[in-house]
Amino acid sequence: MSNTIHAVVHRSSDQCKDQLLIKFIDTLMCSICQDYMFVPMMTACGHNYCYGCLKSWFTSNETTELSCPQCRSSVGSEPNLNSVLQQGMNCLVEVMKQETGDDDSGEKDYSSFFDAIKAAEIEYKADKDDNNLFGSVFSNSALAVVDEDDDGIARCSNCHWELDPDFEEEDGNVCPHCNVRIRNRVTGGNSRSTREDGTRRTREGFDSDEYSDGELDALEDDLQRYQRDSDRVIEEFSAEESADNENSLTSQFNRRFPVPKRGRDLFNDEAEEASSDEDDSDKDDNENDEDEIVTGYRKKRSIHHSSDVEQEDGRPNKEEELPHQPGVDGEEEIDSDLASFIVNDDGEVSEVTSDDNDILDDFRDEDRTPNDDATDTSSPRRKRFQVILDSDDE
Amino acid sequence: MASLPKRIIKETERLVSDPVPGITAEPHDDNLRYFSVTIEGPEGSPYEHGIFDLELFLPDDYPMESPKVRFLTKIYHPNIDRLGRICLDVLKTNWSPALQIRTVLLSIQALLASPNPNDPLANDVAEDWIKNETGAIATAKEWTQKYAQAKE
Ligand SMILES: [Zn+2]
Ligand SMILES: [Zn+2]
Ligand SMILES: [Zn+2]
Repeated sequence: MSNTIHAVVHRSSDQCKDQLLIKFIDTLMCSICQDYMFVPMMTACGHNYCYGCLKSWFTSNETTELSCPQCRSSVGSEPNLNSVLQQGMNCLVEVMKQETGDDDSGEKDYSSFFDAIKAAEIEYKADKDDNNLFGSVFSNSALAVVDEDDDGIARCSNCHWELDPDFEEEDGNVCPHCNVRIRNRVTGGNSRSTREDGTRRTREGFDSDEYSDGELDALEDDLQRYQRDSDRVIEEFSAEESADNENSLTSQFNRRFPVPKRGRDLFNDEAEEASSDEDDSDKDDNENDEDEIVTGYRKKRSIHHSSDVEQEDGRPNKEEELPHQPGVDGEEEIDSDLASFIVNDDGEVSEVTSDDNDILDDFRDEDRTPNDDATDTSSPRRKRFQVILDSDDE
Repeated sequence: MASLPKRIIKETERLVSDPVPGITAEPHDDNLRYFSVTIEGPEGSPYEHGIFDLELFLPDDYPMESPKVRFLTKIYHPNIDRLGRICLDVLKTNWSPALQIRTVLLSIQALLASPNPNDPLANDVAEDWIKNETGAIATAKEWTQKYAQAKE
């Protein structure tokens, strides 16, 4: 085979050879820095980056799992030097060195290029000798592993502590027990495996994103108990007060089994709603704005849940019977963020809350001031402007 | 002043020499990390015929950190709040240093073509969009007419 390819390339036109060569040279480009990879490192998924770029990426954000920039798969094992690509790079460098040697005019001065190669190689070698490749993220971190044959629970590979699927948000992707960084995402367990679209499956209608396994179990037990109880109560009521009107039955029932305040099913109510109060929705700038939105958002959450349940499990929505558990469903935290999301007809910047202004000021500080970072060492390097005020963020 | 990374220079050159259709991005002379951006509303969307101004800033850590982008033109969209902040995964949790300014702007253009009211940006636009899509789209068109017209 190799003879055939050699022969074909040999016979082909100069133009074809050039194109081929350029394509091969392009394989030496790093997609992070858009420059040549002087020290090419390959991830387990087969993508290559400069050692320096990959190190910066892995150490840039300590609160997420290590992922491949190109395909986003978890990088569980330390990338290795791609010696084939490095050989290709060396061949090009040889050609350039030759050209410099042949050049008398000094026009073909590639010294900064050669310096960059040397610096990259020195960095890699020093880290390697110090046993500190990639800032030691691989030796000072652990994997979330799931033994499906055992309990199916994700555990820290370092200390075997059980990892809550929410730990990424709660503990910044760090094992709460031994404090090492977890390199991959918590997956596994039939009830909560991450699907391809990035959302998680629900179990019995509960969003497994929001509850740990233990909480889910407890909720399901509660749910069953409530259903049994409510069946019994309904029986009692209808037996005792068969003539009683709907209102008193409902109110007594609600007092006994407080139900979370839940909006209408907006998908199903859409037809009758559309005609009634929607016309003035965006002109509604009276003082009740915030309350409107808060309840509106609760409705939205409900939609989310009910559609999840109906679409994914085909099961009836049992959520309505769920007892209200303050703090568990996250409503409190979310409500506090809502004020900044009011979009009304005169939503100019002057109308924004003080929070908004702080954020905008951040943005302006960072953007508009001339770049004098070199002298201003006091400014926090990783100061972040929050583009998206996401309720998950807090 | 720290020197501009080669990648930013290359990206800027390419944005000028090989612009994305319907998108312009120009760096400011006094700060090459700060870009003035315009995005044309995609055909067939409520934002069609609109020209939207945005600002884009590349933080010091770029490309390890995502660009910061914000709409300057008022827009009625369930994933963009009234300050112009954009709810887009690649700008946040799904950022990757293999993405570029042009891919980010293309994603924003795509977001205009397909608003996603079920994404958890809690605002009343999303609410309106779910309850009364026809009305919401009409409002979006109206706002486009009103605020997103090319300056003479
Ligand atoms: Zn690189
Ligand atoms: Zn990959
Ligand atoms: Zn641990």
